[in-house]
Amino acid sequence: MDKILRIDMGAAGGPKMKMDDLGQYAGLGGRALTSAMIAAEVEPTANPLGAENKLVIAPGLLSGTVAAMSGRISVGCKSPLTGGIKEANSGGQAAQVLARLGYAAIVLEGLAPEGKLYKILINKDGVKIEPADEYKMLPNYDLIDKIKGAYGDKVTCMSIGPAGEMKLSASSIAITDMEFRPTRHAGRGGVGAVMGAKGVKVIIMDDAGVKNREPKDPEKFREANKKWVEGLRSHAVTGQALPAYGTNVLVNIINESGGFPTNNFKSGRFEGASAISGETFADIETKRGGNPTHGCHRGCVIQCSGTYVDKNGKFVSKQPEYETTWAHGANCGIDDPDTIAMLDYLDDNYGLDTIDMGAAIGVAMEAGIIPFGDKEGAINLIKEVGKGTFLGKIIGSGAAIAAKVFGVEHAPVVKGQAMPAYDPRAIQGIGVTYATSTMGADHTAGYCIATNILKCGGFVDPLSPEGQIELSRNLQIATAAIDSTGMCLFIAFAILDQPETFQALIDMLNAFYGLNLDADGVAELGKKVLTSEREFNKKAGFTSAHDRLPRYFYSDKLTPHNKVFEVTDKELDSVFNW
Amino acid sequence: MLKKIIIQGIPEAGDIIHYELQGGFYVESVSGITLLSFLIQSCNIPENYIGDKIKTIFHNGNPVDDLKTVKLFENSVVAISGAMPGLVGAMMRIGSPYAPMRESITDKGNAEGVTGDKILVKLKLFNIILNDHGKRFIEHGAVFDRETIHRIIRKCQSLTENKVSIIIDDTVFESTGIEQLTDDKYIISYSG
Repeated sequence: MDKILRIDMGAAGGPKMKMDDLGQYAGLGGRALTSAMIAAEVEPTANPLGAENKLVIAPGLLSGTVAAMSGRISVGCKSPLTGGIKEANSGGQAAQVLARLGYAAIVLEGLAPEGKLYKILINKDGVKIEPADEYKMLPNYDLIDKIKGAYGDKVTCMSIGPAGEMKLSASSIAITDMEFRPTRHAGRGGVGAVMGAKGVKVIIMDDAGVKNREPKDPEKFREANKKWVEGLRSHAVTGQALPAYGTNVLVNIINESGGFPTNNFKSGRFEGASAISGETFADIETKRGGNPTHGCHRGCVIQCSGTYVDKNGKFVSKQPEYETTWAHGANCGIDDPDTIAMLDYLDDNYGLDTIDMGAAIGVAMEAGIIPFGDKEGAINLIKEVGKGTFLGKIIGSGAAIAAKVFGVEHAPVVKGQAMPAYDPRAIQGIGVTYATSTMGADHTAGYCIATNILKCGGFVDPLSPEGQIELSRNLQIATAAIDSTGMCLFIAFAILDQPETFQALIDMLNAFYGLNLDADGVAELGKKVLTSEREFNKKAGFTSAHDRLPRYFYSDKLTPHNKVFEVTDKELDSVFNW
Repeated sequence: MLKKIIIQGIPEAGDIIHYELQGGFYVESVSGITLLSFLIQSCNIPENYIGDKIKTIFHNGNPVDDLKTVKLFENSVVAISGAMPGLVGAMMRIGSPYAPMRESITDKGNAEGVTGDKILVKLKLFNIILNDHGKRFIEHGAVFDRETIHRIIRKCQSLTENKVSIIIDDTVFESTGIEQLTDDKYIISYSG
């Protein structure tokens, strides 16, 4: 992982590539690398779909090694959805393959001539860029079928569907999984639209003939990885709940907490929650011959994914994640697992962010385009996106745009990005992160890394009223650091409760790179990432006014707790004081 | 006295009843009992299991940190779960270091004591708790309200499409006519 592939898609005479060494970016990976490059190389006021923007694809620091759970890949750019800096990350096979091939990053620059579409092929012998007009407007599953015919099913792909080609601001980049299906997505912020603007339909990566990356101290690395895996397997979340039920295990408890947004954030409880819970999905999958326990990339020991099949045992989609089940389920008043799985498939096929799609359909339902609970109507709306009709383009541009076009005040968005599956009126602390994240409303911006283990920001008194501000700050710092390792976010649960597991992660980084990193060093990395992202956003025109929830969250009470969002502007403005 | 419905040898019905435990069933207890005592005495869940496996509890939709101070009364709803993923899952855990982030809805308990009055507590079982204890509750007989009983029967094709014999308080009924049940609550018991 000692080189950066840069491709100027707008060069005279066709795309031109060059290979750079790491230079100023040495020692960075994942989000730390994508955000550093965007902050250093992209004009903050640039049009996200213009030639000045760049799309940076970077595996994590430990990707391509035998370290368990190191298959996360980061995609960075200036976001067409938020107008700010963006890092969207995903599982699937790409991080491992790209890292094994030796690339710290692929950077797509410039702008392809209108109507031109390319494929990029990367293997141990080098890189080829070829026209891909035959793939125009192909949905992801159809595209992958064609690639399978031409290149076999041992390669790995990152691709865009019709939504990305149409440059819709809720479009995603699909990444193939272990079964060579395009089920994993860098979903948030419209990164697919930027890839579409660069004229790249698919990046095909083949790691045949290359080996895993070798650590500087193999013995220490092996020992740390062993402790790491033991820690993940012994923890109640990573060893039991996630493998058995997937992320959707959250439906019941978030619904019980009264923070499960229902019917476009009108209430916090959904009557049909148990019909769409992780427990119910796992039961359906088992009985129909699907599989509720499955990894999204090789080297995964948590196995939180699954395979959803229809009544005849035929593949429908991957097991929908919690966010997807909520977005297309409770948020749209839909309590049918088959419908939710179909919507998940359609989102993946057209290349769309499931959260923003569910939120946009919820807004359309509130506007009366279709009623809440209309299963067929929801499916048809996503199909409209795939067809590229005017209505479909509105939905495919996300909840914020849909609300403007349909005249709906209640748009559950921050910085233009739809809120995920937790209502901040019931769970105030998550609202702090939604409001202040550099990424727009984002549930992963402040994940559960043990504050007092990382010691970032000092010890937090859990009884102090400022606790949730400090916690949000520390969580965002820690998340930014973890996002840079290429580790799956779900490792966070084991780190939270088991200091020795967190130490094993640091030991792996040290053994691999020959470093002496400690917890303070990890925290400093996180702060550095957030600082550069905040600076970029400031230069792009963001002010403290953008670090707020929509006004109706401060005035409309949410049942059953009848709460509004109560964190003050002054408190929100103090999140990044360090 | 609640009437008891006994269903035997219809695995589909057993599965449907099992998953209805997520939506809630009723357990008899006494007013003012602590949450911890309720789980041990009224639900027969061993104390070491509570400490080891039950990591998330809600009382009336409010997350709980201290099982000894939260007390139950008529119409109390209790939901029990294992440790949950995600930032919010971590926040909701008993004694979570992230408890301040959901402080406004935390159940901090109250000082009222046991009155001794009999109450029915609605209990919801989620994820690993459902897996570990659901079957036991169903075999002993779980109390459901009428709407849930009707829903169970409507969902179970074996019961709606065939005339299956069901015992209700020693009287044998045909399953196709069971929707005529009119009491507010029934005990339902299943054995394979």
